[in-house]
Amino acid sequence: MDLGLRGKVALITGASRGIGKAVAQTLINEGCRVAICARDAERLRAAVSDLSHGANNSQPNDVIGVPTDVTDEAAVQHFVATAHKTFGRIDILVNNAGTHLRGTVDTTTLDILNRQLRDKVFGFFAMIQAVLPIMRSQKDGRIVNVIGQAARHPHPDRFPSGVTNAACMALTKSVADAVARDNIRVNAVCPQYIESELLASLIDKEMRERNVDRATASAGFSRANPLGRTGTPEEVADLVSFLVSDSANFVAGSAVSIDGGYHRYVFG
Amino acid sequence: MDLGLTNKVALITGGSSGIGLAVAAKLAAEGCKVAIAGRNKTKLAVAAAGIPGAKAFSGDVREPAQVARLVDDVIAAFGRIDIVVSNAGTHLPGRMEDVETSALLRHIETKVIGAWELAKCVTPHMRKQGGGRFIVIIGQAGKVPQANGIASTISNAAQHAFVKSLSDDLAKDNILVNAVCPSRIKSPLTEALGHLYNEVYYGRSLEQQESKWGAEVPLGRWGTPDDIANAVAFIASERAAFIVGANIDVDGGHQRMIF
Repeated sequence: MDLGLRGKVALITGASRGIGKAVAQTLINEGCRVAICARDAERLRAAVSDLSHGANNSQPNDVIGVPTDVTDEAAVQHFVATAHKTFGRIDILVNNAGTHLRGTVDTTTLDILNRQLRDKVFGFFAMIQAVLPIMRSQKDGRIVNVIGQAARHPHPDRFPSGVTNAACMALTKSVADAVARDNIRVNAVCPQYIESELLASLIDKEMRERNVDRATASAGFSRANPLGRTGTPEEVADLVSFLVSDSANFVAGSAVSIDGGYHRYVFG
Repeated sequence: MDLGLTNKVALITGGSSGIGLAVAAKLAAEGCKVAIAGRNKTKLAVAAAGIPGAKAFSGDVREPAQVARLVDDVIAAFGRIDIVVSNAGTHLPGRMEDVETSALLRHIETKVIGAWELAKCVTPHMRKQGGGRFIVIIGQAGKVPQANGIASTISNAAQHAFVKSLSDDLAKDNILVNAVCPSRIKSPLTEALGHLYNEVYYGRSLEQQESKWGAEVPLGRWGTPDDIANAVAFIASERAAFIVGANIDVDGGHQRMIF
């Protein structure tokens, strides 16, 4: 399937590792030029280097990295302006930055909830606001928000993530409605239990808190869905690539689960 | 993107026109061997003739014996079935007082029981092969109940429940069940509906109707059967091996659910 992505410019946040980095690599393989950001400058530099050399059809100058904390509006403006200046256009935004903070209503402090909301809701929002004028002037844009399944699958120990991700779902649908007439398509992908450093940290937490060995802790996650395995960042990246492609030109305001069947919504 | 669909065998019900035909053509273009099923032999033959390598199989999914024979015939012709696209069925318009109970029953027999029967017949083959894909096309009446659409709302909501439940049953056998949800797609079905709505409910000309259709879609335009076919091809592909019990809206943003 020709995704029609050759020559498109994509911005991916939180792309120094995991899902974000896999999205960058897949889009490069499809012929995109990419600008990635992350907070950790050192890790970002390493990711840019991996991507530049890992792509089979890209030149080293087809990838740039700009250290950015997406909760900082000035930093977001700088990232978007740098990417725009370098590549001359912005066709695609993948909002992926943000972590998954666990905790119950009792253990979650205002500080933690604030951090989680700022990372994801405010971070996604700031990035979208920054790219919209450019996408509007092009009369074309594709935005994908990566929103973990804590939105569709609330859990007592996922209070900060549940609240935040639900807000991100509302943001996705609302922005999709607002910008669709400008031919800007906004969608979400909803992954759960993807093999990444985030999942590794959850496994460590299980080992600590339940005092079990790694195999037992890992098995809990790989058995958590009907398919009986965890997913890979590359699998999420393939779905993102489809949604931002010309092949999905009538897909807007949709949130697609990629979770091995984990979530329990009949209509989700 | 290499979808990994070369030489897969795909069976598409309701495959002789509109969305089903576009899905068949797309999957064939991606390298699938395509079997199209439908009730009208003449339409089927014309449709199959337009798709390289496609074979036509006539049958009515409302008849369990015909579904069993359909699956047997496809296996006999191609040796396997990797992908099923359950697309047979139409939209049944009308308010409660307009819809005969027998018509509702036939509607549910086609869209829900027909898909159920198809899954029952094809699953043993997919298990033996080590997996497969079962994709149900569900009109957005399931998520967006609308005026004059009670019958489709009931049947389509049941289709959603069927997809999620079946995906739970079959995932362990690597048979991945998902849905693609079209709305506001230009097809023979929606053209016919335009006339019907015009005549029966709204008292507006088709031109007036069509000018309103785009206005109610956030993207401001209608989609095409090819838009649905692209989503089906992706969901059927090796690139979508972790997508289970999910559905993807291809509706220009029409449906109103946040989750």
